[in-house]
Amino acid sequence: MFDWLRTFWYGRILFLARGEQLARFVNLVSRDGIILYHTQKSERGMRAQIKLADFRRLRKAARQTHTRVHMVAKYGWPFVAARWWRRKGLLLGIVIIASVLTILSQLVLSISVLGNKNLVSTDVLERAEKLGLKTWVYSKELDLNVIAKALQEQLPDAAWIGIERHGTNIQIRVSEKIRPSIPNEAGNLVASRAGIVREIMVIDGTPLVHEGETVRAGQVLIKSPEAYLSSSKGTPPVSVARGFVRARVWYSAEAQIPLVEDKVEESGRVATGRGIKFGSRVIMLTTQNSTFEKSREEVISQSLKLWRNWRFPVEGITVNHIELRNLHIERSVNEARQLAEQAARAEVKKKITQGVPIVTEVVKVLSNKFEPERVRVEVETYEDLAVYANP
Amino acid sequence: MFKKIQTSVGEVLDFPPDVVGEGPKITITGRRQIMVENYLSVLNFSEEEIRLATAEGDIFFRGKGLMLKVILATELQIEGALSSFSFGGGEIE
Repeated sequence: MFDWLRTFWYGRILFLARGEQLARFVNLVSRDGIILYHTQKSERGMRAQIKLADFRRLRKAARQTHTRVHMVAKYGWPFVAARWWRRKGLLLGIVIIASVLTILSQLVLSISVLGNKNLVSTDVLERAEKLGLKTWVYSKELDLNVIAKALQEQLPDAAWIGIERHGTNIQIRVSEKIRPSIPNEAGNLVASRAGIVREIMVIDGTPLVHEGETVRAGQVLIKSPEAYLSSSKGTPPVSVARGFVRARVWYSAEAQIPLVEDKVEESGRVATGRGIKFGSRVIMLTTQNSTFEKSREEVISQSLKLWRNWRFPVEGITVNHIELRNLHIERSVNEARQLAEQAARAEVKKKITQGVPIVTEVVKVLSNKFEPERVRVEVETYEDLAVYANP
Repeated sequence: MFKKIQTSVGEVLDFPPDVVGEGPKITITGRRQIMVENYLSVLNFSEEEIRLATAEGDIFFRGKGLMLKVILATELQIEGALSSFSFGGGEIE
């Protein structure tokens, strides 16, 4: 094995020697300290192998014995290197291509939005760009989970947004909220929630409610103007009601916080173990078992996709042992009440459309002696109820 | 004279003969590998016969497809199907 490597490294020359005094030639050569390998006589003369560095030193012995030496074949690294050195351009090209590929493969080259029906892709892409997700940035520097969360907050029509990286392509997967669609009321403005109408402004269409009326969610507020049927043929032109209906809307939420509570919480400490998975066998290389008394496991497997759905049978595995700890909490009545109020208020905030002014807020304590602290938060807002039935 | 003293000293001190003498040391492994140390020169060689000069006279290797695998100044390795091996030329005193 190592002989072969050494032979390859120094380079070998296979030569053919012809002459009358070949035995003397061999003796002279070996006396000069040159090593001959695989020396064999054939009809045409003597074939032998020699190190590349010794080839020139054969001359003296050849001259003395009137032997003619012809090179037959060359083998080894020095010849390979010389050949590559002659093709410097090709070598440089390979290096350039390799480095360009390495750099480009770390960048985001394309971003696509999938799964959206009503949301406009360009809008999603623009918002993503503002959050730092754009083409020609290093994909390693992006925290995709944070961007996905921020996007989801910005887009109320999206029920869920996930961002996946597939090499240089980033996919923003959107799952939209399913809103009820009422085909009969196309073009009509309907109430988005229940409330008491305070102000109506009609730009186009017929109002079906009057000020002071209580409306329920989905009720038609402004009916679209009748389509002008000038032509009996073809589809009628789409007519749309326009206007505002401002109303008082109430939101409420309840929350309860017990005075004594036992719960399991993540401590924030994580032990990471790495291993190899082959079929159903798992071999952990580091952190074989959880180092914590109580922990939760999170397994992430990295598999190499060779082509289409052919996967490399050996997968890399990362196991995060997340430490859990028991928490025993005792609260005073005041503390519990405050926490319940905070929780209820947060719940209410979720229901209210963003940017709507809050007119009044009432906090009611519903608890009695034997129950955990229960708080109800009621909020009154003044907002535009009119929305199109079919977005 | 010197050779005689060398031999007798060697015998007294129990030296192995290849250290004392000038003669060749020939190692044959199976039928395919032959190692000759302490030879003087190659006299003739072909695929059927290799003749070497040593201090103890000429030695012949006969066989088929004989090849000098490595040739060094005092050592050589032969490979091939060996059929016979003999000494010749030098007279035994």
